Amino acid sequence: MENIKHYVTRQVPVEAQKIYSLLLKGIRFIQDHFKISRSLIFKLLFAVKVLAITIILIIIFLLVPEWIQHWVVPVNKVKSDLAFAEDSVQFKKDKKNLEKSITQLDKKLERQIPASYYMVINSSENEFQLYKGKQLIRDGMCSTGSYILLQNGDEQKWMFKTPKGEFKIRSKTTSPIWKKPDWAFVEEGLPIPSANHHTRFEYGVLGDYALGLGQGYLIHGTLYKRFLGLPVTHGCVRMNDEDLELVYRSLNIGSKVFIY
Amino acid sequence: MKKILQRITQQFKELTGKITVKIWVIAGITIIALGYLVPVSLAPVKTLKHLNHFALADSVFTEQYKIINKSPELALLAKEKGFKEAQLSMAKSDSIGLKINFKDSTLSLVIKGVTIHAAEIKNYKIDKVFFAIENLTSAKLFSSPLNIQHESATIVKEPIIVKHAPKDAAEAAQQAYMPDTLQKNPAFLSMVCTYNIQLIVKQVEKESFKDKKIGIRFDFKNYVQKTANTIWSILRLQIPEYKPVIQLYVSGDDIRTIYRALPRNAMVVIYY
Repeated sequence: MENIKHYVTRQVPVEAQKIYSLLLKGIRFIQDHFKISRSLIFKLLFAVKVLAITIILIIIFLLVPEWIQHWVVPVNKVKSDLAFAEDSVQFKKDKKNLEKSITQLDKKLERQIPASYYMVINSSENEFQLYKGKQLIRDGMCSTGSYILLQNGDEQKWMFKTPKGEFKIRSKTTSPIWKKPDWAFVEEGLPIPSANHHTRFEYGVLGDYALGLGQGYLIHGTLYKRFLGLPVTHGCVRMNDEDLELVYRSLNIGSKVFIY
Repeated sequence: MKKILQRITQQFKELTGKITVKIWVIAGITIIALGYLVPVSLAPVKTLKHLNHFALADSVFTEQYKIINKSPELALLAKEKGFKEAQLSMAKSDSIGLKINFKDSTLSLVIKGVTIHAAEIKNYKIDKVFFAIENLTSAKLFSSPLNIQHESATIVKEPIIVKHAPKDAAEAAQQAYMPDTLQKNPAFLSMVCTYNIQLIVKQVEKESFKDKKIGIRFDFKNYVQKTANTIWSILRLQIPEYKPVIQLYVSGDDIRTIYRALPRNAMVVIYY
């Protein structure tokens, strides 16, 4: 038996023996320096082996399918029909018809864009743009809903977010007065007064102009200009004085406001 | 001598036993791998056939658009016409929709036909299936808006902050909320639309470790989900479903804006 073992070791290439002895040296080094037992080192080596197999399996199950799927799909090429030469009368007629349809569709799409002034408000970035047709008239910062959900016990809840979609200007007011709703008192920890109590009315806080979008939502001015560009409102859109004035003068009742 | 022979025979038996076990293990793994990879490779072909069949089954449409297959030039024109028809169809709805135009590399939010936000597509990958389908199929699929049926993202749709009503003015002053616009989580978005078309929108910014980590986690989650579905289909002896993917690389800010603006089941039009 010893002879067989000796014969086998002698058959191993010199390089492999060198690697093996280096490996043993490495193990001994780790043993001496880190006071780790040989069995633990072999356990670690086993863990590395398991990890390698796991990686191979991940590659087989996660990455190889994608590669194969990409490879098996044939690419479609339009077969040119000899009977349908590109200079034939039929081809020219079909091409003309398609081009005509495209032009008509383009016109219909163009008509979707309001010819007069309209406003676009980005509630994620708190920015606005004022357009006339395709022309950008003014862009700048505004403030929109804070996404605060105010809870007053289990009974009352208010969500302070700016609605998204297409709106129309329904009202225009100069020197607007803010009639504080219930949530304004709840938010400040104050008792809710009666419907027309004098504490509900605040003057000057909405700026010089207000444009109503319906359901109580307004585009108005603000005293807190440092918050422009931030989501801090209760759902209304706040603007600075100059922008608000331009918007007020440009937009008419029925003008479109797109909020997203 | 007899003892040595017995020992050698025993060792030989042990060795052959080990080799047999190894052969069985390798054979088992090969069978599992083939059993997995063969259906997986059939999946896109099945999807391709299904899509082509769906489009060609509509005889009215086929008759109307049969010229597409006659010339590449007419195919392109028909595709453009289909895209514009889809846009017009989307404009009839009063909710915000998504327009993906690879010809001018823009990803836009559209409402009532008005483009309200346009983001530049910095890079993209379109699944080979979209170039393998018949031109008629392509025209049929994209001449009307697709609907987003399922979506997932690394950012929240509505960043809601719950606040409890203060008991008095002093508590209200303590609760004063200061918004933090600097906090922007890495944005990766996945949307599955009609015909199982998957749109993956990834942010181009990969500067921070957090960006990379969330990006890798998003990809891994997608892979795992896909693999789990595939394995489940194979176990039920079915060819797994294949989702043709359109992958877009856009700026993170644009993804956040687009994802938060899109309503549930939003419409999408695609032109490539």
